[in-house]
Amino acid sequence: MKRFYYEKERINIEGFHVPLSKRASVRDVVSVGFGLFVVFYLFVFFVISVTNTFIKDPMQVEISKMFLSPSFEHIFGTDFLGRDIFLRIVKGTEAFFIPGIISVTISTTFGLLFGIISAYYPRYFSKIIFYFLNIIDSIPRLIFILIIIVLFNPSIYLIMTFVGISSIPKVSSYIKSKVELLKKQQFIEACKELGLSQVNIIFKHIVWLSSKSVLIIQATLGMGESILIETSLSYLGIGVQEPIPSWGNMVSMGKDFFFQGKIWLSTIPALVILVTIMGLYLLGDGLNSIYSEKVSR
Amino acid sequence: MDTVVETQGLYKYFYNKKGHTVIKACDDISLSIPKGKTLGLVGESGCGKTTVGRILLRLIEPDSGTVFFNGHNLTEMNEKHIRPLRKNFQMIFQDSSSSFNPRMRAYDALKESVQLYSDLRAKELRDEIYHLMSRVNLHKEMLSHFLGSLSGGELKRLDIARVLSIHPAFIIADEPLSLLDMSIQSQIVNLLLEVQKEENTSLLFISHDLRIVRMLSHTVAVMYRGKIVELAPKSVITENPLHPYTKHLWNPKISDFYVQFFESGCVYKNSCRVLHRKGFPLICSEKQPELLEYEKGHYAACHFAQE
Repeated sequence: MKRFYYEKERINIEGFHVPLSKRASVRDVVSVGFGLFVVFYLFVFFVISVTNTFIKDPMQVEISKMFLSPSFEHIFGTDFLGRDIFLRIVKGTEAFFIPGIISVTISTTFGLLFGIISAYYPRYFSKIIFYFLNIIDSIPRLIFILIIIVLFNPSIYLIMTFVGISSIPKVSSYIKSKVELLKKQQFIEACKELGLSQVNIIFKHIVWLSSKSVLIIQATLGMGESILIETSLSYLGIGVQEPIPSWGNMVSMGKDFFFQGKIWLSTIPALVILVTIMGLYLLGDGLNSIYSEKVSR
Repeated sequence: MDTVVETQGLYKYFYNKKGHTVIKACDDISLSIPKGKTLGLVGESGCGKTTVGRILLRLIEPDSGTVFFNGHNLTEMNEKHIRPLRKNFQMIFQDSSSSFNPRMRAYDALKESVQLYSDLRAKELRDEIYHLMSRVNLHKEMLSHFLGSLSGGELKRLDIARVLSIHPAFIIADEPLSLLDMSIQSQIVNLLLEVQKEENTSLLFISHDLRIVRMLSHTVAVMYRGKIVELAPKSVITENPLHPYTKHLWNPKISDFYVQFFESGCVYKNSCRVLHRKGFPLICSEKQPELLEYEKGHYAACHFAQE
């Protein structure tokens, strides 16, 4: 019933800017809140692991503490070499954080650029750009990455650059449709008539004021996707190698002990992956629902 | 007297996908607006008044014809060269609700236009914005609102404030009083008159409200189907209109005739009462009447203007 009330509200104020409190339903607020929590802990983990302010070294092997189940001392338990799983999860963020940000930066920057160019110069650039981007889009991503790994044995940074490049088409098509819609609006004409420069109109009125939500949403989704790719590569054993922790190789190493009853070794990293990616996707989804001006009838 | 804006032989036709002419929005429009004077442009809706205004600002390209602004030929300049000149000619848009970015706050919208051509900072800027708001009779509280949440009349006044903030030499007021109620209409009219007096601004006043056009303008041009059918000083055209359409506008009675688009002949022939009275003379359906000077400064386009 509450949901319906908000929907009705949205219809009445079609096209207008409404304060967040009126646009967001409870579901949106919960998913965005959860997503922000995920972003928060990812960031904190990353800062801890970069500044190396651990209570105990996550790489330290202690044979006497092998296979300890979760307790107050080791909240996620210890693994087959007696290393604390929680600390290894914290350390594991290092494996994907910077590469993920690189991939997101590449996809949003170039997506934005190509989107604007193809919306403003449809005759010359749109077709070329979109043929090119469709070619990228048509190659299955994971297989493409695996082929690259087999051929060149690249670092994670290079792999994530490829991931970033392969998500350009999606971002740029969103931006293109948004800009195409906006540039026909009368307020853009009014800005032009006022004497604002084209660059100012594009970057202030079109990008910053009207399409930043699209970029934020695509960035959160892209981050989730690159974590997924990194963890799957590590799981397959081609990403980060063993002594250095990564969420993927922790799952992979732990799975050997799963049927011995030591389920936390692989389940807990897997759950962390699940929660993190779900959080980022929900953040994107919730922001999308809050920012979109689509009227559902 | 200096002429601020002058147009010569403007043509703008809109076509459909098959290439047939659908609307003749501008059909040989020649106007000139002297400094500090107001030209009222009257006509029914859809006759091309707004198109004329937009062509003057080069927001749309004319098919042919020239627009001069203070001696600059705007139709030959490209956007890069026109942009520094845009300070001098501004438009009050007909649909104010879509002429602002709904995601901006009112303060930011005014700040953007004030800062575009002046170096006002911090307190001076705020004072200038408050002054503008009080001129258009809006409350200061409005400044913190998002533009999408303001009403039509408030946006209209904000649009006028935005135009006034730039101090242009020439303002195109495209139905500035629609959406406003009586008391605010009179305030805006007084404001426009005041601005014109203070800054010697030229105005192109586009409206279909004759009462206000008569109040504001020095010269009145009557448009019908993209053509100017009569052009005269205000006092002359109100007392002695020559064209039957002007007479009809001044003294409207319900017309029985369905108005259509014609390829040849007078544009007004289907609704013309003179034509009826004359017994459908051939000249009206064959030859297009030219805009001729009947008295000094009084132009009309009708074969039977003097009768």
